[in-house]
Amino acid sequence: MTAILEVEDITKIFRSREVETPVLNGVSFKLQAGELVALLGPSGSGKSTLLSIVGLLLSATAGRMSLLDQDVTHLKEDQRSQFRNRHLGFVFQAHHLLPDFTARENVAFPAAAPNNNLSRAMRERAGELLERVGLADRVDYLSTQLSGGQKQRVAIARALMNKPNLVLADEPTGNLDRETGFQVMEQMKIINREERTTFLISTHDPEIAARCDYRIQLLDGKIDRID
Amino acid sequence: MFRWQVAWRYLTSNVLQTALLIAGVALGVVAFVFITALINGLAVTLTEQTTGSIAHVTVEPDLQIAAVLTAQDDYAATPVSTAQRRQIRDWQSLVRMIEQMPGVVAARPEISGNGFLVRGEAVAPVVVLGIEPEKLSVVAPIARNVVRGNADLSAGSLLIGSNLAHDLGLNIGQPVILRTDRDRERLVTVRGIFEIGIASVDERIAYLNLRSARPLFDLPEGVSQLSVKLSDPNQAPLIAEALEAQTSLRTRSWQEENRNLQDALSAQSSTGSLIQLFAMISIVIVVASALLLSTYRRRSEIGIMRSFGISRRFVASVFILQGLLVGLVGGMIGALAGYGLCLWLFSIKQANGSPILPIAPEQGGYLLVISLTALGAVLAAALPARAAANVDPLEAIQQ
Repeated sequence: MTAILEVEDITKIFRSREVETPVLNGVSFKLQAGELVALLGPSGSGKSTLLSIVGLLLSATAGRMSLLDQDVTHLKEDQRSQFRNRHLGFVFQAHHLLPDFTARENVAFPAAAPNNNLSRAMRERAGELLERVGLADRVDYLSTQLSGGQKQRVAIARALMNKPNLVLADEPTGNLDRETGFQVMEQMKIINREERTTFLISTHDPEIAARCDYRIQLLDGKIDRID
Repeated sequence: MFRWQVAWRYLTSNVLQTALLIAGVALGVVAFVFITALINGLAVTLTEQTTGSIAHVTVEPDLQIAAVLTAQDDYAATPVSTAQRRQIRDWQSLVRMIEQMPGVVAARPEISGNGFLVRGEAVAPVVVLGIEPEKLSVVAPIARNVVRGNADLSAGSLLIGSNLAHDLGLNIGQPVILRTDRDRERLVTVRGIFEIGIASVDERIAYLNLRSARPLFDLPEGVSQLSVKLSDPNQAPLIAEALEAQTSLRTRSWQEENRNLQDALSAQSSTGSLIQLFAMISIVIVVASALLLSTYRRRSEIGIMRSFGISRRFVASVFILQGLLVGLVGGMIGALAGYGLCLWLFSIKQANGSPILPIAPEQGGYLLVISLTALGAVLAAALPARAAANVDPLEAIQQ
């Protein structure tokens, strides 16, 4: 199997004036293409910080990281942005849809903006992805007209728009009721299985984590165990 | 195209807010258009009023003074004036030459000098203009402003202004003595009384036939000056310069003779520019503050866009385009409303038929104001665009 992500000895210390807050302390792991992995840990264990570093939204204080065999540790902001757009997908706890756009436009946005064009092909792919997450009848609804679960499914579809190699999901079911949460998780699992898209899902929920291939357990900024 | 769609969607997502923003911009544009049309109208009116009754270019002979040998012995020196009589001798050919120049409407030969009109015990100082009768109205519209009598300038006839006639109690057909500064006098008859509405002309000018003026001013051949009228008064300095180069005579444009008017127009124009500048600044502030507010309101949306890799340039351009759209729409609406306002003000007339404001609706600087507003709005959007582009995605998402 090919390692899609390699994290080596990542450290993150937040500094504000005289206070230093270490959040990650020497985290190392690898993800292989097509894996569905849960990132578990209590609040404050560093899950979101690690996910932000892997998602190139935050720089590590020390350590090295490579994505798709490319060292991405010291990329400049514009390069990170381009890398995120081409190779990564994001699903956040709060769906973060663009309220003035329809479900289809929200999904197509990551492809349309870099090309400065919302093409027919993009609209069709966005429609297909929405159909895939069970929202075929909601494609032209504004995001404000959708329920919480539907919004999160739109966010999943959006994360998949540019056919990313790795999707990072930060508590994707955190704001949903139990049943809707399981449905959303199920859809990610189906996509992972059918498209071989790699998922790294941060969660508190052991039941959600149990549906993944394996779990990386974080504790106090370190990997406690991988099972 | 997509960034246009996003900018448009942002603007139309809150119609009331955008309408207020555009109204604010349009109001600034209305102020700009109004002041531009007023300043331009005032300049046109004042210039027309001034240039309508004076020569645009005056051609005069230079004062010629013959050199005098200085006496070796101070006691032997005799105080003798060597000043030559100022006149243009070959004026006929000069008039023909000037009238063939492009931009020249007509050139009028004149014998001019000071004098007095004496009627019994009443004496009034006058500026006498001896002219060819057919060129009476070349400089000022005398013939069509004759209020009593007619524009007859045959030998021995005199045309005077209404104020002068009133001062001397003169009426049509009455004789009056004209005494000139050459100490000559002649009895002339008032044939016409005009009123052009300019006090200096209606009170002081007396028109005489050129031939009648010759003996009164001791000028049997030449003329004192030529008054030239142009199709475009603004060309006067250029034509005056060209004439001076061609004729070696002294020329003066109406601008030189009316420096006060030029200064007033210039001061007025500066005031107008200042008001225009303030109007523009207010537009820029309105657009910048509204878009800045929008940037903060959409911070988390911008953050999410940035998180999935939308470039800073795209985000910034969405805000710049919003500024451009607001500037263009507000500029066009404001220009249209400003034009309507100017037309309305222009249509309100005083008792004498002239507009209450000397406004020129067609000179509101419409293209200029639309372009400036669009440019100003784009510049105003630069700050919000920069703020939007610099949104930290992680920070915005976590909010």
